[in-house]
Amino acid sequence: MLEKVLLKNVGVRYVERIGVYIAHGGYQAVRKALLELEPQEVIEMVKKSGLRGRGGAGFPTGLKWDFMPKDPNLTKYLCINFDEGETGTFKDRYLVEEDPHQVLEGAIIAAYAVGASKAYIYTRGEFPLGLKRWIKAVAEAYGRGFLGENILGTDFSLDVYVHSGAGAYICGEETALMNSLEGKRGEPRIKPPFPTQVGLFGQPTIINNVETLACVPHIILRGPEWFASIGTEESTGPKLFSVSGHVEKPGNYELPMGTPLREIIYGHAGGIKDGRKLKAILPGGVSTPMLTPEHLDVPMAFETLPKVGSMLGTGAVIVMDESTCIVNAVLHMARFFAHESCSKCVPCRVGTHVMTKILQRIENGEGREGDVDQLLDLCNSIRGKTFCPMGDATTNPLASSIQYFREEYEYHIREKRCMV
Amino acid sequence: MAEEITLTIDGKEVKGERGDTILQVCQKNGIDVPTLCHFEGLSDIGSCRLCIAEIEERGRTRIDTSCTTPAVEGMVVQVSTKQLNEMRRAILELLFSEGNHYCMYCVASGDCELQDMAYRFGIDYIRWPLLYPERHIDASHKYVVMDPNRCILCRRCVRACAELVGNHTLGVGGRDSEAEIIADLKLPWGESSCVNAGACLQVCPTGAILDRRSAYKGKKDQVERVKSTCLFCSVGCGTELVSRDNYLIRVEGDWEAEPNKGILCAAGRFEPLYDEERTRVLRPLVKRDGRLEETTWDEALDLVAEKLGDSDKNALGALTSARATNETLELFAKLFRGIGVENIGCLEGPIAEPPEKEINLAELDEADMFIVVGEDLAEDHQVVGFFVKRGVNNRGARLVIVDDKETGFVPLAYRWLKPDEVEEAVRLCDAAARPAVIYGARAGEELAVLRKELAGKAGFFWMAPATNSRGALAAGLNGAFNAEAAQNVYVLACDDGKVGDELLARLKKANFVAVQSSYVEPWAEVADVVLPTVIWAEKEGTITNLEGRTLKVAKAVEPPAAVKGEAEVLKALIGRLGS
Amino acid sequence: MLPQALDKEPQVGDLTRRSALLDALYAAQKRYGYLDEEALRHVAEQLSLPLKDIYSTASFYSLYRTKPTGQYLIQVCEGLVCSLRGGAERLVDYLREKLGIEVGETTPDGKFTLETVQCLAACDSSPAMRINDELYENLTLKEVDAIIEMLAGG
Repeated sequence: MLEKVLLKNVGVRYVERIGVYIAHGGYQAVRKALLELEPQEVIEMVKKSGLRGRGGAGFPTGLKWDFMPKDPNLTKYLCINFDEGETGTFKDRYLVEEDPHQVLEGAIIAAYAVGASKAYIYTRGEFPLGLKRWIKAVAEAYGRGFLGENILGTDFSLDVYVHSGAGAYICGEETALMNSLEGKRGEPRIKPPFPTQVGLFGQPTIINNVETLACVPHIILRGPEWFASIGTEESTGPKLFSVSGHVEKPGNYELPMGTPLREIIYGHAGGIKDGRKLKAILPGGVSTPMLTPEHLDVPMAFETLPKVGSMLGTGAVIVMDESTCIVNAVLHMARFFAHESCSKCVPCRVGTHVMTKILQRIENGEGREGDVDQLLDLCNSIRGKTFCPMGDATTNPLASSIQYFREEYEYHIREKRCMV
Repeated sequence: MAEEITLTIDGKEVKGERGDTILQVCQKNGIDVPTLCHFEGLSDIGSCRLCIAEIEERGRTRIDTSCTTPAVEGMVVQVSTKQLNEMRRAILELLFSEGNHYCMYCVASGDCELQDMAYRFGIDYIRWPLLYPERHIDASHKYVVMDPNRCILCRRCVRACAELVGNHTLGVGGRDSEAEIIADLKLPWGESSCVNAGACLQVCPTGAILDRRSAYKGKKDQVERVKSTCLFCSVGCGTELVSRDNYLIRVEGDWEAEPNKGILCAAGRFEPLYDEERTRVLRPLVKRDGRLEETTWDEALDLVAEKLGDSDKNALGALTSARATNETLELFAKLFRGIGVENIGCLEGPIAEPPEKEINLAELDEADMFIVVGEDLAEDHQVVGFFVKRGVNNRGARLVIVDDKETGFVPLAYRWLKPDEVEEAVRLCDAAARPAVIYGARAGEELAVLRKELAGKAGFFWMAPATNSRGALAAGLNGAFNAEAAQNVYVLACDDGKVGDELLARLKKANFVAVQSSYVEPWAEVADVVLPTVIWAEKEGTITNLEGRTLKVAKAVEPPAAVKGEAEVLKALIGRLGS
Repeated sequence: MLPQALDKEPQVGDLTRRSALLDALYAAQKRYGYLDEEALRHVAEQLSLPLKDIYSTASFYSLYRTKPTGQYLIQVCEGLVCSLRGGAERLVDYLREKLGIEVGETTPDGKFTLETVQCLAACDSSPAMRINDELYENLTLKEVDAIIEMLAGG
């Protein structure tokens, strides 16, 4: 059983207050980084730790930080991506509501490492408590001298701004997030240029997920080797798995990267609710391809899930039991994507609606023969052709559900009703 | 000089320049890539996804749009594979299922880029279920109708309104299936901040934005197109006149023409066709018993020649509109000076010659500050106004207005100064690297101050008051006209309506006035003889615009039977006057 | 066009003013109750931005209300997890019946507006709903009843 790292302070009363946080070892990592290490050393430590982005993309964090230009005269920015909108994911909200200073500490170290002078916390508009926590934490940090001019007497200065989103899932995509911060529609930008070259307000920018930043203080204090010793070869460190759906004990579970799916569902989340049978799993939120009970032994890591045709994503495990109508579940996901499409490119904007229309038809008992093949054709027309990766995401649950549950679709069409 | 790069496209080695997109390299090398949202002169957004290509770079292959991907040395690109075409076809079918695309009765059928694409890919049925969205037509605008049922959300209109006209009226509202093109706060277009430039109309690939007057009047293979020059102000925008069977259908901007590069304003694009209410003169007219009556050319010309030939040379006067072509103006000057007439001038009044070194329109796109003196760019020379709007809105340039009047551009201005505050404008220029002074007819002493203080720093740009002011200057017709002294007057009015009330009143008192005009108004009470002549769309010749550029005017339609060309009438008169 | 210019929407007004837009819209929404034409024009004027930019941005985000809403805005999560086992649907149906309105409508007394929204990140405590700025989780129908009664009375 892994010791608690990210969730180590959860349960400590009032740890969202800086005084309590410091009393439990808080801001030691900031001290070490700013007073004992050079920015490049911090980057090397994070690189060595193997930390990969926890927002879904899994890009090596240290490498991303290293891409930032080293010129100290350039204005650089750090964005903290707290736009957690992936269905089934609730780890970032948990981290911020329970222990905001941990993330803030990580952000300060990140900003120091890349030379950012300003950081923006992009909070999802639907998280008023999260916003409150941030505002308070930032104010407290300023009060204690961990933010502002010449932090801890060094020549590193950092200002942090808390910004509220306004209800758009697509703003979790890093370039859309920057557009939203700039007061525009949250539509993704053309890449290249990449954010580390031309980002927020045209300046080099790093965008990191909340959970990713929460890992940083621990890497600094306990060393990259310790961090890398947890998890697998290519996916290191502890991970928060948000488990929900038909399990006895839904919640956030901190486990090493690479923990098998079976262990997460049965060993920690108490198994299927009411003792029913497992039918399907979405291993990393609704943007990931579906899995079935035959895949239960797959280790939950970035490199292992593609081997069974899926992806880790945010590590949000959605469990569906035998009472779930797959068609209905996929219809819900399609509606979600249709609603959140930014409207910029044709395949996503129209494709998600066509998808929803066909699935709705099937669900209503008006499905036609050939509908399933048409859905697969639609997936092929969207996948890889869209402006941003959300297009691929929209096809993942659909295509995989047809792969494993085709008879259920066919049944719906033939019998005009649900199989369950 | 940009660095040359080499890449492989469809198996062929091709060359491009550093900074080109893959699409640009394809276009430079004659490789045809289907596009819809791309438009030459507008930024690329990668929205329609039709230009997708398989791109191999540093060992990795990906699919991406060629309009947004920079071309890199050594790239291996496929744009024409069977697979890509199948993908394009699927995407096109998605477009057809999204809207309500009923080609059979659409105004753009035959003229539609979406339809062209469908033909190109052999689409004869749509595999996806049609979505049948409920979308409402906006017919509130005076000149255009917006039909969102045909809209493919390519956003060309939004980009044209922002990047070419600088007006920022159009935008995209809503999200996903509710995304739509909106004006201002989703106001009816007719009530919006639209300035009727019509750039959106010209860039729209489908029939979503259509011109009322020319709807259903002719498809692209049924019409003739003639490149000409707009004659409604001295900018001299390049136009393409679209006509069919000798009927003028529509005016479009010529994308390749200097100085406007395709943009027009309402004065040249819409008003001449929509708002012309004057009565066309079809036959020579002669005043009998206080009324103008039709007569023959012989009779009319004889009468004019008689009156001009008879009278004392000092009592003769000749006036011309400075909208006439260079050829006409030269002939006019030659004719009347030839018969000894010294009281000669322009309807628009004397024209002061601008000094030599002036900037041209394209250089306004580099200005970081505009000082507009004595000119309301919201009313006149609107295309110049668009360049100013582009600068202010898109590049952060500053606008300083020096004017007595509160012109239409004041809301856009950084400062509005009165003429006696011109020193403040000079001071503000200290912060500018490339200021431009745009001055018009009402500019007074303050202009001289600016010339002196900003010599060598600011570029000066003359808003010549009349279409062919420079032509009039060249023909020596820029002097003052003495209306009192003129008893027998010849007026070459062309199709110009603008004549001052004072001048009209004086001419009424004259003994004999012959007017060569396209329209009866406002000469009905003044004229003793009216000689019918061509309008702007029936003319041939050249004019010289405010930059000093000589531009060709070509006729799109033949004039009515008994109407003669500008120079033609003058030549007939010369014959009669025997000089 | 050069890559740097790609996708570069011409920027009217400096970036500082534009970047204040999302916050300005929230402030206007609070002041005017919802973002009607007057509210949007006010924002446009304050920030010196074109009207279309204001509308374009406001209409993109689902938390900006361009129509009047009741005193209490009830937003039931209809994300996948809350819907599994019909939890969200049952909740919505119950509220529809109790308040006598359809989804998207407001009660005649102007007290409650009922809407469905996407995932609120409360998946381990589903079904969940938001009422104005307050999140309610682990809902039973009895609880929902009590909440509505309490708010209706207040």
